[in-house]
Amino acid sequence: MSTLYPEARFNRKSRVLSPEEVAEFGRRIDALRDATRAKIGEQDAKYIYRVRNFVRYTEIASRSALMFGGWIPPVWLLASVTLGVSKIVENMELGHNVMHGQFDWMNDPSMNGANYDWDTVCSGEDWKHTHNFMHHTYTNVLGVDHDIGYGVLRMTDSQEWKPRNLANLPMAFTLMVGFEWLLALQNLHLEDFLDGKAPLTKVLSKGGSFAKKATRQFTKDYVVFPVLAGPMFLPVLAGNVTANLIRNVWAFSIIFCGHFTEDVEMFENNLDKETKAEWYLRQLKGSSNMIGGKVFNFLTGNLSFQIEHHMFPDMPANRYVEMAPEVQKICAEFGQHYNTGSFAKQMTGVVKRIAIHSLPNETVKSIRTTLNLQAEKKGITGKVFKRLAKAAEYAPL
Amino acid sequence: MKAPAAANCTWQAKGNDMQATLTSSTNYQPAAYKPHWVREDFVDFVLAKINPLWTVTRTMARVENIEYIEDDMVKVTLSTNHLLNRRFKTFKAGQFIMLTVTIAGVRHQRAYSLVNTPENYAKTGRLVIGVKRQGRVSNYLAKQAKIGDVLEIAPASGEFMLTEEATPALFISAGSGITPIVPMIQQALERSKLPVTLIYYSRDPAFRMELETLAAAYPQFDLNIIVDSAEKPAFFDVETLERICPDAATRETYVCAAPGLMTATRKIWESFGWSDKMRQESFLPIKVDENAEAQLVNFRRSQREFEAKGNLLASAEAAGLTPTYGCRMGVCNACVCTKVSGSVRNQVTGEINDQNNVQIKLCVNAAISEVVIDL
Ligand code: FES
Repeated sequence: MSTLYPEARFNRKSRVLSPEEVAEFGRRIDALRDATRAKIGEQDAKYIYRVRNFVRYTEIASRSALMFGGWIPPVWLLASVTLGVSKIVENMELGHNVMHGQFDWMNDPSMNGANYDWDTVCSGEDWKHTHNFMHHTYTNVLGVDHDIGYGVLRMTDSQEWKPRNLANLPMAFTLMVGFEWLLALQNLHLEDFLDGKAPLTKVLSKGGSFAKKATRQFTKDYVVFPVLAGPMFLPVLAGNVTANLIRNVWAFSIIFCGHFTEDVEMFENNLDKETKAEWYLRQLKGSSNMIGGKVFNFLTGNLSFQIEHHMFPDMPANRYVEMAPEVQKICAEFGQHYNTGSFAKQMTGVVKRIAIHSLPNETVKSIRTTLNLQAEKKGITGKVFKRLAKAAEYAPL
Repeated sequence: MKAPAAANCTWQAKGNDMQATLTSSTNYQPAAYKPHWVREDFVDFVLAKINPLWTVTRTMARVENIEYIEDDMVKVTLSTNHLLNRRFKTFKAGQFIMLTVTIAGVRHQRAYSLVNTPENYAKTGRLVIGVKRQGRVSNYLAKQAKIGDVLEIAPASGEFMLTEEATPALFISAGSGITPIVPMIQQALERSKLPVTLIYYSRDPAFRMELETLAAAYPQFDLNIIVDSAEKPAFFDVETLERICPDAATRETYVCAAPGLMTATRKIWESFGWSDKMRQESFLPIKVDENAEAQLVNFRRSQREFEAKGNLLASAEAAGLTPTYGCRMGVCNACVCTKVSGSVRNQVTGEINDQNNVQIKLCVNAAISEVVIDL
């Protein structure tokens, strides 16, 4: 058992490792990383250029279709969905990965992590701080990793319950619909204002890059392109709104499935004592994968390999698919739970997690006790309650 | 993993519930962020589909000719697009261009001196570079590049050029150090009748024909090519100087050669108190100071920590990281990144930089303390 995390916080599906085993686990992961890094080259460069071309051609095609044929309903629908897909790929497989510096080794300024800024309201600058630095370094560490509920959702029983958490589910739905705005505002920590910890002026004073990027995105999608389309103003506007919505819902779902499924663990702040090997373990326990085909992986920006992404955030994402079986094998050897499942299974876990944490821990416990008691009853009532009790079962509690 | 303190963050424990607030996350402010309206490479992407030389932000050049001028020296002639021509009207003799070639998916950049004069360029629209065959990019240019290839270049830069005022001049050079000097000599001869002397050491002198033609055309040009060999190397000393150029004190001196000759001339000029009358340029990578104590360097985005001895870029590469780089000698800014904390010494200027969150060039800085870099 590592000295770092209290045993209670570990998922019961994982074996407790001795410090020597932890170190060995780290060495094995390092070796996998080095072996894969040695293979990176032309093939990966070609891959990311192909992704970029896909984004550009789909954007040009869908915007032209909206502009010239937007009044024909099937054309409008196809073009809006294509634009949504284009934005999804731009944000996830291109922007997200490039901004991680996964392709910095190519020395191409247009694929350079420091320069890239993606097609979403969140400014690249802000995101490189909240995501690349804060989230990836302090993954699932309570009070530090702001991605845990983005300051507004209650995602674990270790978070203090507040009455506003009763709205956990509707709040999550709102975040899903307006996901790009949530990311954009993340750096402002609006919850500090909600909780009365900071005045609104102070919270907003950090909104410099937000204002600039939001103006740019809003003007581009909702003013420039519709106005350019002239008589096609409304179809183009509606198409752009739809495309952004599609992208928001998809991105939110993939990201929440990557970190907030049932089996994902949260950590307390023990970082100053953490070794690299323990960091790997934390990334493993704090992430979850999804099983899907090639198209699915592509559309998730390979975040269906969230575990691998978190262990190797600067490795070209197209390599995760070949690393994943290796990681899974190492995890099996060390008796560590490798959290993976279908999109539907992981999404169910997420919804359950959000729903359960809208109530205080004690309430959840007493509901559970009641359900279990009722479940012991005979007949149809018992059966119904048995079902309900099973549904209310939840790993970390 | 480093404790967050290394990244200039403060942890505030709230009671004993282990909850912490990272104040840096709330105080974080990006410097002068400006979103682009249209991605510049998008415009280039579309234009280049029509003509590979049509680019707005990148500058492209077509290979017109590749010619060996000695065993390991190649002369490459490039033509540029009209946008670029406008930019290049301003280049100065003695400057270099950065040339980019993509080899196995990686864009490599190297600096090459322009060997034709700006006047010649204005007339012909051609840029001529001297390529010494050493290293990956030069080998690629010499062996694999074909006439008609389109390469990316960056506008001319470099501080090694003639003084504004025409003065009598002495040029000292050896080997491939001759490349920036050829157009400088030509320009010096064309602009005034003041004497120009060249001392040029070489085993296989490149540009001999060009230089001899100049010597024939301009009586004020004193050409001294010293052909040496591995068995009989020639050395530059005070005696040689006095023999070839007794009035060196009255001249502006330009030196471009390997470090040995550079140091020798610098010492002589220092001893005579003429240091302010000498300009130098070296194209060799910065030498690593082997004696420097190893320092712990933390690349925080890639979560890697390694021991750096001397040069940060080389140490990072030795540790298996692949930071962006270009010229590796501190002129192209490609490797610039944010140093979050720690002290570094600039290996070129000797300057010590101990401030937090400043931009530094990895290729010319050595850590002199523990350093955290935002990469
Ligand atoms: S590579 Fe040249 S400045 Fe860094």
